[in-house]
Amino acid sequence: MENGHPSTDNSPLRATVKVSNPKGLHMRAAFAFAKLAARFRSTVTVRKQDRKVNGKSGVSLMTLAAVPDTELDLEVAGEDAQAALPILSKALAAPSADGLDRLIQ
Amino acid sequence: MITLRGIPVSAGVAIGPALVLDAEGVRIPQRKVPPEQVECEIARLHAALAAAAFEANQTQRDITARLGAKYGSIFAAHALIFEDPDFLADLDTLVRTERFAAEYAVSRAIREFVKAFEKEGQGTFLAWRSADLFDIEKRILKHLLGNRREPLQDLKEPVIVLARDLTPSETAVLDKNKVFAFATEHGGRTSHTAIIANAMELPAVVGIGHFLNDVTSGDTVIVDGVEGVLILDPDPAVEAQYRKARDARISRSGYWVVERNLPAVTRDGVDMELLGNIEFPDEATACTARGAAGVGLYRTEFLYVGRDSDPTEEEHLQAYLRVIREMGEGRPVVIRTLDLGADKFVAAHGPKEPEKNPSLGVRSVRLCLRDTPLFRKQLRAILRASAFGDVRVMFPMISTLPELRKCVFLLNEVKEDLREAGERFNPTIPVGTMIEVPSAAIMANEFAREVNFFSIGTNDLIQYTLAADRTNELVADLYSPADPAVLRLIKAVVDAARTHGTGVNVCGEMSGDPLFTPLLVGLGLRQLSLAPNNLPAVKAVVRRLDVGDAERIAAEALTLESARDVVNYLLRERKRIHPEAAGGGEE
Repeated sequence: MENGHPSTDNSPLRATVKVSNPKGLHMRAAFAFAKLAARFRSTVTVRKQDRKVNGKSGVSLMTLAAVPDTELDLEVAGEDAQAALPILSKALAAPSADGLDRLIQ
Repeated sequence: MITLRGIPVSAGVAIGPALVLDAEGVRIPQRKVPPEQVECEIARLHAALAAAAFEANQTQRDITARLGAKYGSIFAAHALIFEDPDFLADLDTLVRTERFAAEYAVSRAIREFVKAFEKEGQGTFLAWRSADLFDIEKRILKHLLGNRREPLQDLKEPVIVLARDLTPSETAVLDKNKVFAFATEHGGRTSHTAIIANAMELPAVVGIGHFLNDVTSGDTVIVDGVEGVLILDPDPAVEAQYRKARDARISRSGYWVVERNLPAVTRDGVDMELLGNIEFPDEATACTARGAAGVGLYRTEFLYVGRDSDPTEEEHLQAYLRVIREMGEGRPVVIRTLDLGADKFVAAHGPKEPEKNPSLGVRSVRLCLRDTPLFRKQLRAILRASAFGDVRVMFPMISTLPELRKCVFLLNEVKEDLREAGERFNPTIPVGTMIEVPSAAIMANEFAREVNFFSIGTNDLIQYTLAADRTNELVADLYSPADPAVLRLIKAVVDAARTHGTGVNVCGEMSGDPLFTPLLVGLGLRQLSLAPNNLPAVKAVVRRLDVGDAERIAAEALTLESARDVVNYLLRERKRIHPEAAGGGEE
């Protein structure tokens, strides 16, 4: 578990990220992201238009069926949100699942 | 309309609604559990999840070692789903709150994800990825259900079964009134599934390759088991054409049944003994209905499958007596001892560790000789049955003389036991051996001195001679009864048998294919054992044949260098001998 800087209040932090993986947010990428998200205490939510899912669940992320260039809204709320947001938005935008794996290590 | 090609394994044409087995997964009934059993069910669920996760991790390691991390990591994602928070929460709710059984909960949770995914991914290249989720579902269900898969029970209307693969036992329980035909992505020409389909006279095409994603249950499909074609969503004109062909085929088989009482004798007056191959006692009826001279191969594996305990001696005996009664006085019944093997059903008696090379491992008589109580029980029943008819006993998969001698020794011991117990049996019961391992074919002269008859099992003989896995569609082209090496082995075995006055027949698929009838007669065979539904067609060829002509055909075929040359040559000869069959056929 990483200890990010605690944010002063628990209002969610947001970022909009474009999927740049040419295969979209496919199964492996989704699970890799979820694994990373699970390292933070904050709740992580990913939204595609009006569909909102738990960012710590690979299978739920998969159901977004996010093809390349889809815009996703990332929402992080909790004590380590400030630390989590840049890492997670970078991960979500990673061009390959392998790149994402490296990011996790 | 999509036309797909596969391997034709059982002739006939069927048209009807599809029942897709694997894309829809196993059918899981919506079952609830009583409140006091919920914790139990949760425990069962988690045990299955843990087992499935372990398996996925193992797959990941295997694939990583074999192909590299890039491929292995695909299965890493599979393993991660077993700890996915949303998936686990859904399962928990379904079992705890809704009190669904674990199987249904898994199936339902996965399907919800798939539904969401497919709705969202509609029209994108991602859509087909839901296959991964189904794979995961099957993995878990496998652990929950054990070996139980009962998708084919309770069919309401007749269907054509489409599946990735069917096991022989799944095929065997198909209800002919409810299933018109089947087609599978996997499987080969002489898998036991194919043999059973043929025995059941169920049109079937196997080894088609991927197609289940292109078809949904309820779609009209056509299975052409003659040509090996599966047609999805047929055009009306094509469908009409197939309906005509189907009806013509039905009336033609009626014509053959009319011919059943004509003798199987060549034009120049040589008698051929045509026997039937059967799996189940009920099939004896199919033999008598087509004028079979007896049962040349009664496979007894089906006494053993689909059950948790071994059949008792009494169960064996009752099954054998049913066949003997149906065949009636004077018709031989050759009972082959247990031939459980790698590609069949390895239950409690199988090897403890999975074998690296099951088709070269402990199967068939090798298994029996290691488990003599099991073997003796069957031998006792066969001997007791011999008091009631012309029963003959046959040992499968014999590779060496010492093996054969061990079997005969055991048989004699069992005779002694029966004598002491005052049971009736035929003390001179004819003993035969299958010739299906090349070593036995090569040693045929020596074997011929020790048995009353040979039965050449071409299916295995071809597989072991050409070293081609008979269920692997990628090497199916190597596997051919027409291969010159196979023909020479058959000739050597027949010659050895004749020298020693030992009986000999062919009981593989080859003997049921009328294309090979002239060749087999020409090689000197006077007895063939075949699937009962092939009897009329083979008899029709026999009745149009001169033995001298057949011998010339065999001699010519033996000079050819490849299976293809042999087949082409036989096709030409068939046109000459039996233009009707050639015209009615499609080659």
